Parts: sequence; C-alpha cells; structure tokens
Amino acid sequence: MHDRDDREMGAVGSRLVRVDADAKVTGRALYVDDLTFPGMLEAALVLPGCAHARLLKVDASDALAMAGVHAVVTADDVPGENQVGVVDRDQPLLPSERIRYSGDAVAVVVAETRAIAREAAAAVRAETEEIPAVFDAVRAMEPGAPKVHDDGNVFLEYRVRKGNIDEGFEAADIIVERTFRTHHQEHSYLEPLGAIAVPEEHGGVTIYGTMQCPYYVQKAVATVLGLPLAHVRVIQTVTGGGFGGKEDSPSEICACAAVAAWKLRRPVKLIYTREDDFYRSSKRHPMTVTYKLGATRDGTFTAAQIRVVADAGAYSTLTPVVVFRAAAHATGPYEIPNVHTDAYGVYTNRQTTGAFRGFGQPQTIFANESIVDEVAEALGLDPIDVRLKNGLAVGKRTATNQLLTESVGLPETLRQAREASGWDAKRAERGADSDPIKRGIGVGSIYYGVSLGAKGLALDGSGAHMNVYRDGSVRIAIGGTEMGQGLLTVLTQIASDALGAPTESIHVDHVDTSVVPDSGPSVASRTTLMTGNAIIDAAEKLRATMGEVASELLGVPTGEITFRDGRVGAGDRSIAFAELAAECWARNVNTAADGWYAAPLSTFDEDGQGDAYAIYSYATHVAEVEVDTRTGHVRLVRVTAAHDVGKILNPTTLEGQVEGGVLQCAGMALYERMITDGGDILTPDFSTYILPTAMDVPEIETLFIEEPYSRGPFGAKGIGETPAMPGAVAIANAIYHATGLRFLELPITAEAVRLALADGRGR
Amino acid sequence: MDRPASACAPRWESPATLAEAAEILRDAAGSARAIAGGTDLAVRIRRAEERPDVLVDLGRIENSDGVELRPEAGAIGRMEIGALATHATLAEHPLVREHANVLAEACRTVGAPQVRSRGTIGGNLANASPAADGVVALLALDAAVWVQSASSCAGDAGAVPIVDFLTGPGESVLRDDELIGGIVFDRPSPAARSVYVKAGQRNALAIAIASVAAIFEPDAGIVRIALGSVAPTPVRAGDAEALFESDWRGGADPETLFDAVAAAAAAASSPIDDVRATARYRRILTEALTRSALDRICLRKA
Ligand SMILES: Cc1cc2nc3c(=O)[nH]c(=O)nc-3n(C[C@H](O)[C@H](O)[C@H](O)COP(=O)(O)OP(=O)(O)OC[C@H]3O[C@@H](n4cnc5c(N)ncnc54)[C@H](O)[C@@H]3O)c2cc1C
Repeated sequence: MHDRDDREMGAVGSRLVRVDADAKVTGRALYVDDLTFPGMLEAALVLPGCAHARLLKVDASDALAMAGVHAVVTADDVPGENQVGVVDRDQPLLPSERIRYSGDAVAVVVAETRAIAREAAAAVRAETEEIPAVFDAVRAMEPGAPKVHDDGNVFLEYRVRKGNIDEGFEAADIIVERTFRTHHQEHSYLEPLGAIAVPEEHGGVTIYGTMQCPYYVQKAVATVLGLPLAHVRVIQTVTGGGFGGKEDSPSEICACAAVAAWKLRRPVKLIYTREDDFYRSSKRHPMTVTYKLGATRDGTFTAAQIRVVADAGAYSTLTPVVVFRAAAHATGPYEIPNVHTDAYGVYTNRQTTGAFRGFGQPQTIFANESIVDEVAEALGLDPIDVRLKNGLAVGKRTATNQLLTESVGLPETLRQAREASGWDAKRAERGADSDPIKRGIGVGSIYYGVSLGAKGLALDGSGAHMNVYRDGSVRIAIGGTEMGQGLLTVLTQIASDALGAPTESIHVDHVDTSVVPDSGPSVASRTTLMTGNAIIDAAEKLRATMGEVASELLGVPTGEITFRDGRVGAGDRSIAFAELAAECWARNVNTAADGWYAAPLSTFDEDGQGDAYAIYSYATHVAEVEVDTRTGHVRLVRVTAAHDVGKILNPTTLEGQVEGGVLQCAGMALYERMITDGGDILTPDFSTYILPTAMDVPEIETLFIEEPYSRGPFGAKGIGETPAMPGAVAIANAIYHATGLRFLELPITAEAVRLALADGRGR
Repeated sequence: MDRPASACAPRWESPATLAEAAEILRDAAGSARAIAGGTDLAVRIRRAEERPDVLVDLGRIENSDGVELRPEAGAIGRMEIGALATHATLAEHPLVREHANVLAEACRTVGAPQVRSRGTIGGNLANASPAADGVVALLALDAAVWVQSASSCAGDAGAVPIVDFLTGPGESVLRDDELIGGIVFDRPSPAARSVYVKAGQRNALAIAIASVAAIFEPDAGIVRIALGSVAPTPVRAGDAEALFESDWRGGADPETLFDAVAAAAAAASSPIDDVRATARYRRILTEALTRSALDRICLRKA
C-alpha cells in the first residue's frame, strides 16, 4: 500500500529490510545469556516471598557449605548506597530490615554454575516476621490501612483544573458516571532480564545486559558501587523485547550482578527465570478510574471529572511519571471546556509497576472511551460521530489547555477507520435473535504526548556520534536502544538520506555509554524522534565540513552542494561520497561529528495547565467481534487500526509495530490476568498467564495518516506506544454492541461474558 | 544439604525394548522415570517437582508407536495404538480419522505443533491429568491400557480399562516399575460419528477448562459421552448416556432431549475452582459443549 519507487525518494519511506533480521533469524545475534567471560560465575537471587515482613536474619550457612558456592551477597556487601529508586529514593537494592513485596530479594548467591547457584539460593534461610499487608490501592488510601512506607501510602498526587467543573455539569443534559478497574499486565518479552558485570583492571566495571535505558543502569550501578559515572560502562546487548518492562527493572538486576562481581572481583552473570521476571519486573499499573462525563443533547461534551488511583506496588519506580501522563491525558482526545482530574500514586504490598506501552494511558482510556460510548448511546448518537464532534483538531485545546497548532490527525484516523471497516453498515446490522453467535463492532480513539513532556525535561536530550571512514563507510553510535522495534533500521534510513550515503554503507551500533552522552531513556515513543534528530544534526555538521572540501574540489560554491544518493556536488559536477571521504582523510579533515537534539520546553503547572508535551500522536482502532453466547467465547475477527504517524519512515517496521500493539490490546482486553494470593503469583509463567497466540490473531488492516510534525525527523512522530492503546476498549465496546454487556473491569474473559449472561445481564 | 547440586543432571538410558526399560525402572527402585516426549516430565523437572536420578528414554524402543486395526477380534475389529504414538501422528492417521475420529480431533487440540510432535498418547495417559485431551477421547472409546512390567506383560487379556486405570489427578494404578505398552479399543460401528469439543482460554496452547468427547452410534441408538477437566479424572456421563438411549429411539424431540442429556452431563461433573476457571463456569461449559457435540454428531449441525 505504501510502497513506492525507492530510488526516486531515497531511503526514508522505503521498505528497507531490517538490518538485524539476518543475524536474528540465523541465530548469530548474541543475547546477554550467549556471552561468557573468563572466570565468569553465575548468580541467583534469594526471594523470601513475603508480601510484608520484618527481616530478622539471613542465614546463608547451608548455602555456603555447598560445593561450588562462592559467596552469598547481602545488603552488608553493598559498597556504595543500597538504593535503586529511579525517581524517588525509596527502594533498597537488597533490603536489610524490611521486605515490602514478594519480589524483594535479600541476597545474591554466586556459584560455579547456574544450577548450583539456584539450588544454593533455595538453601538460604531468611528469618522473617510477617506484618499486615495491603493488596489493593483503594484500600491502601483508607485511614488505618497497613503502611508500606512510614510516610503513608499515598505518595503522589496530580491535578488538572480547567474551567469550572460545576458550571460544566450544570450545562449538561446528560451525565454518565462509572468506576472502571484494570489489572496488572506483564510485558512478556521473549528474553527475560539478564546481566553480566565485569570488573575492569582500571577499577571500574562494565555491564552487559538486556535493557531499554543504559543510562539509568549506569547511574544505578555507580550508586550501589560508590563509583564515578566515568568508571561504569554499560553496553546494551541485543535485546529481546522491552515494551517498557526493561526501563526500570534492568537497573536492579544489573546492580545485583555488579555488587556480586565487585565483592568477588570476577565477572558475574545473573539471568532471571520467567518466574523471577514475573515476581520482580515492573508491570502495568492496576488502576481504578472513576469517570464522570457531561454532554448536551447534541453530543457536545461540557465537563469531565476524573479520579485515578494507580497501584504503584511496593516502590514508586516510574509511578511519578506514569501518573503524570495518565493525569494529563485522562479526558481522552477531546476538547472539554471544564475538566477536574485528580490522580494518585499509592503504595501497596504488590509487584512494582512502571512503564508499559502506553505508560498509564491504556487504563484511563478504557474508562474514557467506554463512557464516551455510553453517552453516545444515551443520546442516540453514533459513537464515531460523537468522537468527531468533540475530537481534537488543529486550533482546539487539550485538557491542559494546550492549543494544538500542527499535526493533529485524529479526525482523519476516525474517518479512515470508519470507511475501511465498513462501520456504518456493520453498526446498523442486527443478527437474528435465535443465532447464538452475536456480532459487534466497536471503536476507541486516543492521543499520546510524544516523549517525556513537562515531567521529564532534564532527561529529554539525545545524542549520536557519526564517524565517516576514508572509504565512505559510516558507523554511528547512538544513545537510544534497539529492543526489537526496528530502531537500527529506521535510523539507518534517516542517516542515509541525511548524509546522502547508501544504506549499505551505514552501520548503527547498540548503545555503549562510554561513547555517547546520556541520551535519556528509550521510552515514551521518543527514540526515533530524538535519536533521529541527533543523527540529522550530526549529518548536517558533516555535510558542512565535507561540503567545503567538495566545493574546493569541484569549484562549486558550498551553498549549491547537495548530498544525495551517494554523490556530492551540484548538477553535473559531482563526486562519489566515498571518494570525497578519501579526499577529506588525505587533507586531515575531521569526518566524525556529534549530534544532539533537545526537546522543546513543555510545562505543567500545579493545576495541570500548560503545554504538557511538544507534540501528540493519534490513533483510532475499530474492532469486530463474534461472541458465542453459549460459551462466552469472544472471537476477535478483525481490527482496523488507523494511526497518524507524522511521516512513514519504513512501512514494514511500522506495520509490525501496529500489529504487535493490536495483539497486546487483545491480551489486555480478553486474556491477560495475573492472579495473586497474598504475595504469591498463581500465574507466574506462560502456561497460566494467558497471552494471545498466533492462532488468536485477528485480521488486521493498518492505515497510516501522515500529518507531518515540523520538528520531527522528516516529519515523523513517535508511534512506539499508540498501537497498544486504543484496541482494548475498542474490543470492550464491540462486545457491548454485540451483547449489551458493559464491562467495567478487564480482562473480559469468556467466563466473565458467560457468567454475566447467566446472571441475566446483557440483551 | 542432601546432595551436591552438580549432581542435578540425571543419567540417561536408552533401552531397545519395553521389557528392558521396565527392568531399568525396577532396578532403580523408584529413582528412575520413563521419558517419552518429555512434554510433561521436563516441565516437572524444571519446576523441581520431580528429581529423577535416571531417565529411561522410551524413544528408541522399536514398534512402539504404531497404529493398527486388527480384524481378527470379531467382526468389529480392534484398534491397537502403541504408547509412543505422538499426538501429531494420531491427529492425522487415516485409520484413526476413519474409525476413531474423536481421538484424532482430541489430539489435534493438544498444545501446539511442537508439543504435538513430541507428546505421546502413553505420556498423556501416564501423566493422568483430568484435562488430558487424548485420554478423554480414549475414555469415550472404552479403551483399555496394556501394562508392561519387568516380570510380565499383562498382554491383551489383562489390559486395564481406562476407568480403572485412572485413580485421581496425576494418579493411576501404574507402579513405578511399570510401563504402558499401548492402548486397545473396539472400533465403533462403521456408521458411528464422533467429535471432541474443548473450551480453553485461547485457540492454541490451551489446557482444557472443560471438554467433551462424544460418540454416536445410530444403529444402536446410543451415545457415549466423556467429560474432561470437570472431575478428578476424566469421567463418563453415564446418566446422560442412559437418558439418550431410552429416549432417542422413542422419537423424542431432539431439541428437548439434547437439552436434557446436556443437563445430565453437567450433573455428572464435579468441578473445582482453579486459576483457569470457576466450577460454576465449568458446569455451564459442560452443558454447552455436550449440547453442541450432540448437535454435530446426531444432527450433523455445525
Ligand atoms: C506447552 C504445552 C502444552 C500442552 N498442551 C496440552 C493439551 O492441550 N492437552 C493435553 O492433553 N496435554 C497437553 N500438554 C501435556 C503433554 O504434552 C501431554 O500430556 C503429552 O501427551 C505427554 O506425553 P509425553 O510423551 O511428552 O510425556 P512425558 O513428559 O515423556 O511423560 C509424562 C509422564 O508419563 C510417563 N510416561 C511416559 N510414557 C510412558 C509410558 N509409555 N509408560 C509409562 N509411563 C510413561 C513419564 O514417566 C512421565 O511421568 C501440554 C504440554 C506442554 C508443555
């Protein structure tokens, strides 16, 4: 659909085959567990498994007596500060006094082999004294609830106040209010967390690991070892999936390996089992969202009052930023004159929660997009019409009162999804009452502030280092991470067009923190935008210096020189890029350059007003389902996914992002459920934690709208997360259309559907 | 500390005959385990639920994975299936598809292609899960199990009926030193039609929440109904079968009869709540699946 003649248009926009495809399908790609170092030992963690307890003693005597065990490392062995909190300093690496959730590790056992380390870890005895625990965030806010941290459980509050909420509801002809709940979602990346720490002869340490945010890891390791940042080098290994799950958690595992390696002065590898990953990695926040929406008879929204309670788990990790994003976007992609949002981050004795594709938004989207459908139905209006009526567009204002001035593709996503899905006809269709299979079609729309926004300004710059060799080949070091999303490929395309050098001559490396300055995290759909712009910046510098040499050689003024398709020059006077590189080398001209891009300023005041994010991406998904009323089984038949992406850099990687996102939405809506009993996770593996499989994939149609962003690389905006956001509620709305069942809680399992019908709910 | 961790990896034995395998098991006195496809056992070993010192690989045993139809045992004919036959084999085997479609269909629902290529019907039986798809089908087929021990092969005559073989979740009459050699059952009448219907949490890699294996023999006017995942072992819905037999011939209205038979099948279940589903849902499913099985085999409705 988006194919076109590659030669005419350059690399950007082409279906360049993923640069890492060959290495990955042939097994040549080396993941962290494939690496080994001379003298390397293996580690395993000791998890007492208590939800809340005082830690009295760690007795390692039996473990230490086992053949092949080298050390049992505890809090006492942490040479620096025993602290791995990302935003708040509330999380000890290895707790010494108090265990706050079942994922807390009290010791790292190091042994000759992994099998011995795990066996020995099971032999370490932690003496504990249980204290009352709290497993529900709403309960945790009540007075008298057990305190997870001494200062109380509510540690975070954001508010958005726009207009006058009372007047807004007075002006409404109809008001709908409901409370929705969502649950933990596990990232389920294929490659579990893993790290290797290698002590270096100069006194520092090098960390290898699977991760999204090497600069977070660098800081965490420097903190626990008490080292200057310059002595901690972090090398990101080929990373088998992230989805946000490798933003905060890698700091913990890398720091554990580092402390162990430091004590023993030997390389130490620590690889999580899938169960370790379930217990210790951050999940999607369970949220309780109360949403009240007012509208006039013609469907114009007048007021929205929203209360969001986010379950942070035992430590805050990324909750401060997740809840900020949830609060800023909680209305959904609509212009509403009166908004009153309160959002809270609350400690519980459950698994920590952090980043997951959508970063706090999918939970509030489930609420706002369900309510929008209810309002539409109550007024007898079509759900897409209501969305178009209130939806954001250029010249409209968001909940934070930000005036949108460019690149707002929401209306077009709605129009195209409506058309391509055959919405109007299917919406009107009513199957025979006697047919046990009920068909339904539903919609969900979203907006997403790209990059870190007002609460992440200090982190919002990214770098690249570009080195042109004398044969014209180019090697680029970057600060953003490839985690499977296709970053290296699109950056190769951006670099190719920015430099006029062929894609085959360009190689982009995974992150090494000793080469590129702190570029912030690879999250928030920011990496293609930020690193892409940094590469363009570096390329511009190189075009300037190399252009001068070309100008001299060709006798053409520098202003007329262009770099295109492997040639440099003007008109018929040109030289091959490789030849120019050789000339530069012969003349001792520097052909390496650093690029940098900093995000524009954004704001969010105490009342949640301001230009919260520089730019937004938009998407609409339409889902079609068949519900078998005999068994409750929901078949997801088809999803039409329309995305405003600014500019398509590579249609293949883009489609991959969207298709994967559609499946994660299906998982959140229909299947994924982390069942716990106190601190125990009853579904700690993929036989019990149910993910959609290849056999559950619906037909997916992707539609791309290009509303260019003036500051984006070639006009592109972030799309990493938007595919995982609108689909879950589109499915919920489709189930409603099919059955008359409005679910206030996810996932909507076959059992939930069938029992609701058995209880006489629905049509 | 009971034993050094480095001794974790068990010894591997690959006998050439079933008798030899049984001897190794006997000599190991409880510390050895037979391994066929390993799709159940490897999972349990990884979870440290079992720690065998010796693994007796059944994969090298000759003539242990065949499927045969023996006409000599009377006009009906008997199906004989080697314990090492995989789910992939049984799902596609022409004899199974023709004469015991319910088994082919059940095996087709197991796991995913990798699991079906390795997992065996003998392992499915010995593992004795109430959710074992192949076993639910075999129960409907009134199959019996050949047991082999070091001293003797019970042989054909002594084959143990599946109802007696299974004693509880994960439990059977099989002793530590005994092996399953194969499975036998009388071929259903040529006019018979059979199905396997299963409800799982997704379309593949799904352990049944509830399942129904059903066989309809029009000439005799009977159905055989076996239920999976709704009792400590797969169970037969005897009352439901009896109700069908008494009323079908009498020309009862199929809609009313099937509803009653389905309700009787649900009444034969004794499910529990677990991480996959509640007992209440399992009962509802048993009724719905039985109903749709009857529609398909008795009325050829989709
Ligand atoms: C991902 C996955 C999905 C699965 N999905 C399903 C499913 O949908 N439905 C289903 O029913 N099962 C499923 N299973 C379970 C398993 O695949 C089946 O039970 C399979 O039939 C086991 O056979 P096996 O040959 O692999 O047994 P093994 O693991 O080799 O053995 C299982 C047990 O039986 C014993 N044993 C094996 N063969 C014999 C023999 N001939 N005599 C005596 N004892 C023997 C072993 O000692 C062991 O105790 C799944 C398993 C996995 C890993």
